[in-house]
Amino acid sequence: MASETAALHGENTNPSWSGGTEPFKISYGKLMMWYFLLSDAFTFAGFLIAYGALRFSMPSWPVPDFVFSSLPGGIHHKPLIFVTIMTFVLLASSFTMVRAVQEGQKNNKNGVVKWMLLTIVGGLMFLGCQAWEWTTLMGAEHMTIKTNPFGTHTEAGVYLEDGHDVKKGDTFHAGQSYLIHQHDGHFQHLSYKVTEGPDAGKTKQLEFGPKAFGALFFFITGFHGFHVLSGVVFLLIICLNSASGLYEKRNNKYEMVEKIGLYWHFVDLVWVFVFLLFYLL
Amino acid sequence: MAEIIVKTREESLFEEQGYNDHFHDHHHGDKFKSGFLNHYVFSMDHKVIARQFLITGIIWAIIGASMSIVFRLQLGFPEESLAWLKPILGKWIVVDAEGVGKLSPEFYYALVTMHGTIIVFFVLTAGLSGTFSNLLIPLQVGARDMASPFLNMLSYWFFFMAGVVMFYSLFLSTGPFSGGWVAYPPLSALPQASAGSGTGMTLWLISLTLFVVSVLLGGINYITTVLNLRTKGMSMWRLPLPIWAFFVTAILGLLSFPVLASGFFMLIFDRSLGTSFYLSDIFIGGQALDRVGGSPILYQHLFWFLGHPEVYIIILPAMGIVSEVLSVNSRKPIFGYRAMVYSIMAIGFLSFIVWAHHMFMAGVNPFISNFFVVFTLIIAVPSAVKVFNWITTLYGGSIRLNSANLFAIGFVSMFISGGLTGIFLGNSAIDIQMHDTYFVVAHFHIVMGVAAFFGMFAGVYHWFPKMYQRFMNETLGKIHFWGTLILAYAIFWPMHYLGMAGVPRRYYSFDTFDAFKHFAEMNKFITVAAILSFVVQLIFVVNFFYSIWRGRKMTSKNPYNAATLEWTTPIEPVHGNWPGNIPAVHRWAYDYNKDEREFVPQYEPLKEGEVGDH
Amino acid sequence: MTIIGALVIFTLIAVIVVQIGRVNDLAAKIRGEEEVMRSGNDATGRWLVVFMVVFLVGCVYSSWHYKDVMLGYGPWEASSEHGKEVDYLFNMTLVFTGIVFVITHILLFWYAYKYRIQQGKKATFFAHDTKLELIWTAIPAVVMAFLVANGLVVWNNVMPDLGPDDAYLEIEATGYQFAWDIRYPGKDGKIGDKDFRLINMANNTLGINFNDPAAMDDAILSGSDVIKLPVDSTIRVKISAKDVLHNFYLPHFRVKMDAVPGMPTYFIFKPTKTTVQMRQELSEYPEWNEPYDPTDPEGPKRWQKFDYELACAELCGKGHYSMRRVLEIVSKEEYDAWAATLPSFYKGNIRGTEADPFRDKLLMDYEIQDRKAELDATVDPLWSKLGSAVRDSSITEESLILKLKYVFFETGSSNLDKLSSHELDYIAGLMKKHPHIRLEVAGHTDNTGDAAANRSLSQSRADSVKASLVAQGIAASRLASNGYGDTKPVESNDAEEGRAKNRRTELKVIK
Repeated sequence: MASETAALHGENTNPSWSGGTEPFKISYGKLMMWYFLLSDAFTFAGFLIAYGALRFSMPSWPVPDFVFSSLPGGIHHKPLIFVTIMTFVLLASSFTMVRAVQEGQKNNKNGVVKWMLLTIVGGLMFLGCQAWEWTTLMGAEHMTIKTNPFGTHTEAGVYLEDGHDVKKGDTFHAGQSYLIHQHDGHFQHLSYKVTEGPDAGKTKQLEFGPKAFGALFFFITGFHGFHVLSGVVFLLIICLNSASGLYEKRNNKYEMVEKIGLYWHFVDLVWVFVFLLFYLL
Repeated sequence: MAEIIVKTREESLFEEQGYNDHFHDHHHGDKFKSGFLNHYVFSMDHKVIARQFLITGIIWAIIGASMSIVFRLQLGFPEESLAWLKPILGKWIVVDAEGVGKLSPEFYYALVTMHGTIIVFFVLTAGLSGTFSNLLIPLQVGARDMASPFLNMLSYWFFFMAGVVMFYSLFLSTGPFSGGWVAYPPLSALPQASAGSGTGMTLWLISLTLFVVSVLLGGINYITTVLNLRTKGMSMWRLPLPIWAFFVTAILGLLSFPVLASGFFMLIFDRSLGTSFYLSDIFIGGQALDRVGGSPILYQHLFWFLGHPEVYIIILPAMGIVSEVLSVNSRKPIFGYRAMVYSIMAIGFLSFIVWAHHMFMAGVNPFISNFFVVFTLIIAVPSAVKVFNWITTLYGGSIRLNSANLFAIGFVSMFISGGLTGIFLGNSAIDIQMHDTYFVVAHFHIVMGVAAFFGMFAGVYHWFPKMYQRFMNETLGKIHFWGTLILAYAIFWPMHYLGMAGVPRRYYSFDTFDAFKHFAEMNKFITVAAILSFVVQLIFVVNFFYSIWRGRKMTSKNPYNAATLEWTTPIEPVHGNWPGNIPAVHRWAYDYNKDEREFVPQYEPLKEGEVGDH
Repeated sequence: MTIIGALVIFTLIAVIVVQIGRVNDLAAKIRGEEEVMRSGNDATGRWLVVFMVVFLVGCVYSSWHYKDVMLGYGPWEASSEHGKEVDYLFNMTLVFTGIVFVITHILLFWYAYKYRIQQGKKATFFAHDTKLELIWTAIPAVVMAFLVANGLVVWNNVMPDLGPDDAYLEIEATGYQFAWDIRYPGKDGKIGDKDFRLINMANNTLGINFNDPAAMDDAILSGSDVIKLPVDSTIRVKISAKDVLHNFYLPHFRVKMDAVPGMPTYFIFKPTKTTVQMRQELSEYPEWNEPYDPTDPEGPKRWQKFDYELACAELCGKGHYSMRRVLEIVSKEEYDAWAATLPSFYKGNIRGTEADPFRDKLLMDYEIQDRKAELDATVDPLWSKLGSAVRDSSITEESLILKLKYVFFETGSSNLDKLSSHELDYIAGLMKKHPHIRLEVAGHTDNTGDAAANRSLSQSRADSVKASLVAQGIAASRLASNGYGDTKPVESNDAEEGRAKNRRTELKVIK
């Protein structure tokens, strides 16, 4: 059509792509942040795909509702409440980040600093929560990257001895979760009798859940947490720079705030995926 | 008397029509020039960084090639004593009671592994992409420098650090990593499986993680510069082909190296922290390991998701360079410019969906392999189109057969030879027999170890004046070309026969098997050709370094009468590339012998009714 | 010193090289740059054509010289059914790629020569030609599609697993650093389970799970045993690895598959040429008639010593190149005969040892079956012969004695363990079949304890056996029962081994 023939005759039909300008008015700094985020997304994708591949090659997998059901203050059996609070905190910090960027576009230094501080607080709260979760899993439940005391029954049965939250004679069905508790440094592999299926009548002991669960959980949340931590550090630096008036003097004003905002939203988005895959599915 | 200042037509055009980005308003008192360290060492000027990549790449090429000579000596002359290497290689040469020295098998495998790692990553990725993307992108798109000169500088220094770590690993007492450049677990994950899988492997992983950072920093810069910093009038369809090649290469790197990094992180965890991402059901060193549930195949998927795009990351820049060199030296436009661009994009896209053709015999569900066969053979189509376009570029030309162009022509020959054998390997049923034999070794050496190098040589000879303001010696260049062309075929052509005969790769010796031990003459021939070829490369090295200081000086800005922008900068390079405005562009990069004019540079405005794009 | 010497030599060579380089520059100054460039260009162009010719001729010649490695040709024909198809695909691809290779190379070098700089000639501005480009995009696409289609047909025939209705022989190959363990399935045709946690370097290096009945009759070859397989039969190789990745590679059969620890893989193929047949075919070729050992020219020729080989084709450590085993393809009859002689690993190495999960079990099912087979094979024909009027000389006194194997008494008593019924019932059946046979049931002990008590125990045990046979319906008159105590030892009572042998119950045929 006309634009094609015009292009063939050497006229600039699409000024955005004809050189001498920034296509779509995206500055190169922002563009570079997008590319970095794209590459980081692929790294996380690699991990999450590994998670998918390993999880679905296992006959059973710990049920998230059971594993993640503690709250600070000794509260138990509240499935996924804590991680929901964590997610909410992170999402809220994304919202405060958006506000910070908006303030930046209005060249309002104080507004930028205020909302960035709130974002930093949110990030630190998230990290604190993640640290608490890790401490509980490792300290109280003795889950590590090599050991996974959370399991899921694949057959129905009845317990033959007393345990931490189990009594002799208690029954269970396939799909129900269990935790192998540790007393005096020893794991209590409670014995039980199988009541259904090909192994009916046999006496077995509780076995550790798939090793990969612990490894993947700590590895992926750790990698994500590392991104949150570095994000908080950068947020702090940029917040201080804003407060000192450095960005006011620049041609692109508070573009740096936008860039770190992009990074922060990315970290949040990755968390949504991790939350989805690890905790909900 | 008033001074008459004569301006060239070029200078006038730049002043009137050029793109004024007010660069020199900000950059007076050039901060680039502050001190020796900032000028030569931690320079942020893309042209200096390009030379840093090139020289580091050349040094690593010498190291990697020397390694291949040592292990070829073992393969070609297994009865001969290598005891004379003992002063240099120490305990890696095992001398028996009669004084006959042999390479120890562990060290043989370490050499093979290091050779592959060094050449693929340090020479053909950093040395090729790093050099030419850095040199040419700002110059050919019309930019002052890369989008972030600081990150660009970091990209080189991360590469340098990666090199230092890898170099250090060569001197460990347990030896460098020796499990093949692909580093498959469990071999690479278990120190008890192989001596080199101990500290050597740890350092290998650290080195390559640093390398990935270098590639990502570079890639982000290249993409951003190509998209955002083109000069006025330089639309995407007017970019010279090398830029398209470097651009797509950078995208490939950006998306594929992170997955390699993720694969490596999990391998590090398996090695050092007892996890089981890749390990399951292993009994080794007299004990059953407490590793259950992992899959070695998972690693292979993650590795080859990078591994395949990696080979296109290696070949695409060479292709871009060859297109440019052929065109300039034939005085003809590159034939089928748009088809070339679409082919580069198609190859780039397809390279992401063929990775499991490296895994046909890995135990993957055979049904899935069907898709990978289809996509792999589809990739042959844009590759073929490119070959036909290059040949047609020569047709009807007025060809200057200088060293650069000879290497470009040699590239096409090598790419044809090596690419065609890829068609055998991509067909999974044939791969049943050919996988992990010398047929594969022949294939990838001809396309990567020769063709990509030819592209690199073509680029070095062609753009040497731009880098060092002097020319490399033509006679030596021709000797280098003929020697390498003939000897490279002498080395790798016979390997096809070895592969067809079923001889497996990564074998320290063939004497154990009746089926494989009757090729002693051929192996000797290959080794001798390799040694001679190495000597010929030294001619190139001497020529290169000699010419930096004593080469024939460049006396005109545009010695090849090329149409692209890099030849419009002053002979002595300046920071910011153009002393005044950046030239504005009005046409594509290939107006050679058009309408009675010998060539028309890109900055030349269009005449009435003239077509400037194709 | 060597290093300094090397550096000196290198520097000298570098200097020479540089001087060579400068020769042309000097020539250029003398003769004029243009002219030197032009004549150099012409010469280079000519050399390119020379190279093209030499190269293409060289390629063709070398292919002919190495025709013996051409797949599917001459001595390198595949020895398996699917292998022929793989070879055919290879050659089909070779034809297409060969044509492209020759044509493109001729054009490449010829154009480089023909269109070199020439006085008065200018280049043509030929930037694109849509029709031409479409043609040369379409043709490779069609050719690729053709190659892919053919290739995938073969792939999808060879690779998918067999179903429960298919007949095949399954063997297992386990790779480890640096050798292969080969396991045969035994009579039941099934390879038993294994688990790496059961591996015991002393007596169960594969970690076979003897709780799986299919594992009872599996046989494991020793390291130097030849792997025999029947010709014209479908073989499924179950491939696994113990420590790192390996690869099961049979070059002559076009068989290759990675061995992955934790993930068993397989390859299915059908050998079509026996080793003997292959040797015969190879004897037609001159290079196969050379001596196998070059230092022994009078010794056997290469074709006579030919063997099919198994190699590893995935880098597995420092011994990767040395994982060799020999395969022999034999006729079905020869294979069946050989396979029948393979000793069961469980029976020979495990039964009764610490590694035996059934060491507390007195009698295994297969032992009952085996005993029945044994009695059928030895006692039945013997007793038939005894019935005929003429007795042949092979019947010795000894052969008339049948020592009971699986008849157990509770300790110190003459009560028969109920497992004994298997053997005794069977013997009763044989007695019914041969009504003329009369047996003496003889009880024997070792020399521990009181001789009189031994006498009496052996007597009552013999009586128990007789009573049990009588209960089956054998006439009491056909059976005598005597207890001999320790008076008739068959071995010295000094060692426990000998004593165990002396504690026995025998049936002897009497007139």
